[in-house]
Amino acid sequence: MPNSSLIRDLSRVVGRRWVLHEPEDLLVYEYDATIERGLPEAVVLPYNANQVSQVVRIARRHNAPVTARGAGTGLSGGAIPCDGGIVIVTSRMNRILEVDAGNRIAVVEPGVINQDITDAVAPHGLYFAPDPSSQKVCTIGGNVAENAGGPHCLRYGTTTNHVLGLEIVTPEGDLVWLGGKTADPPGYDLTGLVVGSEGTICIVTKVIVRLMDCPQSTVTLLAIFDEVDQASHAVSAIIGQGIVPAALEMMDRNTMRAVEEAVQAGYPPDAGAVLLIEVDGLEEETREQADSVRAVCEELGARELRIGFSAEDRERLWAGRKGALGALGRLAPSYYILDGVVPRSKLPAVLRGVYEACDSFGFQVANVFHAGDGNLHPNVMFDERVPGATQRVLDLGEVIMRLCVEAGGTITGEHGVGYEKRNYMSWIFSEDDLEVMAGVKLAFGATDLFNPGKIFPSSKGCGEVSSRMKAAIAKVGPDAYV
Amino acid sequence: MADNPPFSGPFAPSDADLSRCVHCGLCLESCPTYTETGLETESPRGRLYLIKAIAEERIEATPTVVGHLDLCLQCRNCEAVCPSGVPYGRIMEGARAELLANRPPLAWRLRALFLREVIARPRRMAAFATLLRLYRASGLRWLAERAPFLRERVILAPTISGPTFRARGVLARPRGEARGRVALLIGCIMPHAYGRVHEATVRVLARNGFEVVAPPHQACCGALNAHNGDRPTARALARRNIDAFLDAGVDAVVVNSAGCGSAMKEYGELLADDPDYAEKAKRFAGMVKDVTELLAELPLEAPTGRVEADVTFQDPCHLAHAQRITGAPRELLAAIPGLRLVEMAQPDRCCGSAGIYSLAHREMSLDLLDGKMREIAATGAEVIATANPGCMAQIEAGLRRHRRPGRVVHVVELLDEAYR
Amino acid sequence: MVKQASLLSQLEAIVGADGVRRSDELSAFAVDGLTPQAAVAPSSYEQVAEVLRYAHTEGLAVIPHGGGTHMHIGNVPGRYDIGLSLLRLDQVVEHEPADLTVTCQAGITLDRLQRHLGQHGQLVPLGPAWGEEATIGGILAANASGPSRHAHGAPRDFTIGMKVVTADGRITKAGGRVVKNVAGYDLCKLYIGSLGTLGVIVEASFKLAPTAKVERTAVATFETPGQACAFAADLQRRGLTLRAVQLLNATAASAVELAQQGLCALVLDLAGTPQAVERSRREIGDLAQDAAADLRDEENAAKAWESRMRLGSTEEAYLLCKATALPTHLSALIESLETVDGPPHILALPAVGVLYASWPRLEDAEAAVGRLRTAVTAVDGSLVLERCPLDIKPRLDIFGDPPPSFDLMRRVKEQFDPKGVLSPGRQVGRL
Ligand SMILES: Cc1cc2nc3c(=O)[nH]c(=O)nc-3n(C[C@H](O)[C@H](O)[C@H](O)COP(=O)(O)OP(=O)(O)OC[C@H]3O[C@@H](n4cnc5c(N)ncnc54)[C@H](O)[C@@H]3O)c2cc1C
Ligand code: SF4
Ligand code: SF4
Repeated sequence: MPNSSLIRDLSRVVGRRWVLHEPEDLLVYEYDATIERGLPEAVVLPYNANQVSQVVRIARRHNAPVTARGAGTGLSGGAIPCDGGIVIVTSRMNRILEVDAGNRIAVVEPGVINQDITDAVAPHGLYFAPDPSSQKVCTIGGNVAENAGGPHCLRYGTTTNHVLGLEIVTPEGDLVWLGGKTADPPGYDLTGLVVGSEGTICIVTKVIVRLMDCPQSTVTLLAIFDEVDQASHAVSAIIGQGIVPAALEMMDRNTMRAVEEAVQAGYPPDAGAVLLIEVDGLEEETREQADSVRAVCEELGARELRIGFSAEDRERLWAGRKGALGALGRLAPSYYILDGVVPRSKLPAVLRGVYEACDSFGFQVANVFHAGDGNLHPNVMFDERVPGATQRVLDLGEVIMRLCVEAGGTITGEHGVGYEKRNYMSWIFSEDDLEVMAGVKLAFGATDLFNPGKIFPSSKGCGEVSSRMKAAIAKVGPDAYV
Repeated sequence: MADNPPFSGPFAPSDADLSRCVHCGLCLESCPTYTETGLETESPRGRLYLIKAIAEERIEATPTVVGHLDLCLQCRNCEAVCPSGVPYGRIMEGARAELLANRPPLAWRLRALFLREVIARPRRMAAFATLLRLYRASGLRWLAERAPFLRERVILAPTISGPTFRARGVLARPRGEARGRVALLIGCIMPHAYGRVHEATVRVLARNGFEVVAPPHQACCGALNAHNGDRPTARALARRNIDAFLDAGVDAVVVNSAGCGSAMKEYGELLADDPDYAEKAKRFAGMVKDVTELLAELPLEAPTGRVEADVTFQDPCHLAHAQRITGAPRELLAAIPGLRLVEMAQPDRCCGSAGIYSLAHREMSLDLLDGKMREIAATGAEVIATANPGCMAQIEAGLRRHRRPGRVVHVVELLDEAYR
Repeated sequence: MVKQASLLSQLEAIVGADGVRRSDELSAFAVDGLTPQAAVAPSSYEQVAEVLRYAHTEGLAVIPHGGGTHMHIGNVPGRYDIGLSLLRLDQVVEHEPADLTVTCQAGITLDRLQRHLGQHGQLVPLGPAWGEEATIGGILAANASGPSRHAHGAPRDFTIGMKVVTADGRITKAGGRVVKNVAGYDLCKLYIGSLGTLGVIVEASFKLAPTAKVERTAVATFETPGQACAFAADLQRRGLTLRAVQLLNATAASAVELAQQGLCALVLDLAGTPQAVERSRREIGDLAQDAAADLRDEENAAKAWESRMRLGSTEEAYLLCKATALPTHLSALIESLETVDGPPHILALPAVGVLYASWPRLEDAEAAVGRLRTAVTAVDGSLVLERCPLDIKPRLDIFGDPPPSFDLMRRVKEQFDPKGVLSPGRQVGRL
């Protein structure tokens, strides 16, 4: 099956060692953190931008689609080569090329790990703000492609707010700089367009990131509520007080139960929900805001409030949240994580709807999410060995996504559309809207070269996708539904 | 035996274990072989996927596939960070056992043979140690490590110096108020290579009120055999140890080699299907304590002396990841007057020793060692403390390789000095 | 080409008689000296779409207008047939205070929107000049920002969604109304700063900010811009509650009476909780003392920004340019701009790395522009001639040399507006 002339051409550019084509080598690039699967024909690990550009030219000549891959932690099947072809892995392009502390910028290669940027600039009192929960392993290239967010994006914005410029490889194989280090570069904001484009219009080979000053002080509060409803009302009330916390996260009873087993965070077993609220800034500011937050929570019926000022205390309060996703693995053999957004004021109603939908489908659900942004992550727990369960979970996912859309929200807040949700795109965008988006792809000349099959709804119905998923599951066996 | 379906034997990783991995990738950056190569096949997630694929007969266990599994250090850093609780160590040991039982590559067979027939047999081990001792004493090592073509090849060979630890039976009586009676695991290589660590261990335990015994019939712990797929030998050794130690009537079995300790704590699993031993193995496993773990739980006798030194601590993988002990050794170091602990970056990243890995995968081992030596150099510490003989030997080799001064010690040795 | 009479009757059929502007009103729609044949003010998105469909079919060039405050930005249009005013689309569409978001029509003025939001203790963190006339759509299309971008970022950072009418008259949507959204390409980024060349923005949604509990302004004066920039950099590292930091060079500072003759002024807007503002003010005081800079409180917080308005107004600015550079290069840039036929009025945002410079009169504008470009190139910055004498403007690309990604920009324009209906020629490289 391996196309030997393709392999030969690729080897000439990156060296034989960095072109993979044995069955076992290809196999481990057929997955990411979702249930999607797709085998590449060849995997290349270029060393620099120039090699990427040559690889793209070769791919074009051979009519092979190209899918970029960072760490493969994506939650929408973005790095899966749906149509085969070449996977470009950025793990060797992981150099931090420049840190300019005076101007608060850094230039990095796409394979640099998110956390490594912060580690590298910490001695200057700076940090890179976007903090996906996967930040210790995911790459900046993947963050750019998905416009990744994280708990602290409530106040500081997502990846797009922290990227100033990009070097990209176009479908023609040309290396082009978009944006730059200085503010407001003339012309169209192509940088902003590429962030969040999920690898469908170009390959990113360098990123100029904006760095932030570490806040002087940070205060973390944990508020325990009897009912989810109270907690979700508190979310709006805190924002209504004119406070935009750095982070505002919620965990419900099921999540707490799992967390309690895993890390003994000391959550009362009968509590309905906890909010984790972090404020940062000047010491005076954080104290004043923490007081207001505390007052709001108490007024809305918080039964207990814990507060952390020191790094250790704060870490203890966060421990439960950080370990939550993993801990859920203890409640059921599999879970399926959803990613939808609703207006904050609709949180109480939509959450109720989520619980009801799960009830009626007969599944348990654990909610642990970025409440301040209205970014829901219902985790549906199930056992894939039960016949038909997987299909019912996917159907339930669709129902929940509908709830979000009907509440005026959207189908993805940070994980991307990818393969999984492309058919939901037509719920929120008209044919015309999608055509304009397709125009972008045409303008870049990407058509089907880069990451085909992603973002845009297929001409096939949703049933097609579901059966493909089923086929994928049958093939790999029941396992991942992260 | 040749044409059995893959992974159908008794040691096959279970479906339940394998399906716990949800490919989240959160383990990637803690895997030394992945960060060195950037290859998914050399990552925990990739290896688990390959094992699964072999089990499902999607791929065959060709030499290259086995090579990916073999390049795993079994440092279990991945297991320590995995949020889904994938029992990586157990899966990898099971997979290796199955592969060794079914058409194993020649190198594996030779390795298993060597571990079973030399390392695990005290007399042959002693003879082997004598050879190594000669190698160093004769000046041959000095020559070899300076010969251009040999240098890279021999640098990681274990070196043996100092007196062998031969004592058995009652090793020491408690000093001061008696706290209990403990047994010491003597081990295979440890008494030859680091007899001085045993001596320090015995003195420190006695100082803290323990009677220390060494049951004479104990054996090698079997960790290396298990890691390399020889489960039958590992199980035989485990049974011997269980008998020897349970008979000794002790409160705890103390181990000063993290690799051995972690293997012995897992005897329960190793013998779970052995009707005669399952229960005993579990009980035994509960008695095993790393020496640092035991000491840190005590109201430690306050050291009277001082150790004026900048010390950095290398977490042995099998202490930090397999036994999840990272605080205890640091607490002990902190209790030593005068000692300044200077942490290196990523102290729990594998040094590349990994049992006999350094011999089987010299290049990877050297790459990891070089990285480790850079981190150590950055601390400026003159003493490198750790808690496992393999790590000690590896870092000593690193110092020689980089022509750096420095002293490598076990944590208890420093404590012992502080008691003098 | 369509006859004017038939053009008018067609347009009237779409927007009604009251939607078509009288011929004596057309001069208000002039752009760089070009007056359109007709001007319309539709009262619905559908009407906007229909006007564009018509223009698209007939190959007519349309230039959208808001309050007309930023129409000087852009190259001289290549063609211009219809002025499209959005002033009648001036409603707040949705504002749920608890969501801290708002959706409004493009023709609403910034001040009106802020007044509406202010009743709920919120604001949209836009703050360009001429807020009583500038409309939301115009501000976005021109990517105009004010001093508060120091704290809140530029329009791209808090615009979450838009409705845009395409060149061929389809009403389309980009983004949404929730604060976090990664569904599909982020087209909002494209439309912001597109100068009306890619689509007509008819509606926009924003992430809002709460109004600060306390606001205060202090002014420090320095002998050189270098000292002022160093002071500003020092402040930023301390994480004080600064909403805006503006630097006025000596000429600008004395014009608005913020500093004595010969001194430049650093205007520091503080906003936040009472104690935090108090503490910040105290710390600034201490630092000023160390730096031997004069520091005083200023009651009239808008004064500095007023200078920006004067800087840009037609009477005073013969040439107005916006230049960007890395913050560490900004003072060098100011110094070299001051040597160009000056002295110019300069207002800079030191932490952002943006400055506006204007010259009331110039002997030889073209030569001056050449020198400006050299100065900016020397620090790897960019230069846009926002206002430029009409006698030389047609000969210049006000954006300078096209950027390396120009080819992609051209292709984007071709996809979005293949017939060149929308503001033809106004963007970089005359797109
Ligand atoms: C446990 C867990 C927690 C997570 N938490 C969060 C969270 O809090 N917030 C969040 O936003 N996401 C989260 N994610 C999702 C995921 O980590 C992010 O989407 C991340 O940005 C993906 O990075 P990656 O390097 O793994 O990219 P990959 O998965 O390898 O790729 C993702 C996409 O990026 C494209 N891509 C990668 N590199 C390039 C490049 N150089 N040029 C062009 N395209 C490229 C790929 O083609 C693909 O479409 C989480 C995932 C997991 C498993
Ligand atoms: S082993 Fe654990 S951490 Fe690694 S991919 Fe699997 S589930 Fe994730
Ligand atoms: S045991 Fe160590 S080397 Fe092996 S996969 Fe896990 S982290 Fe990597």
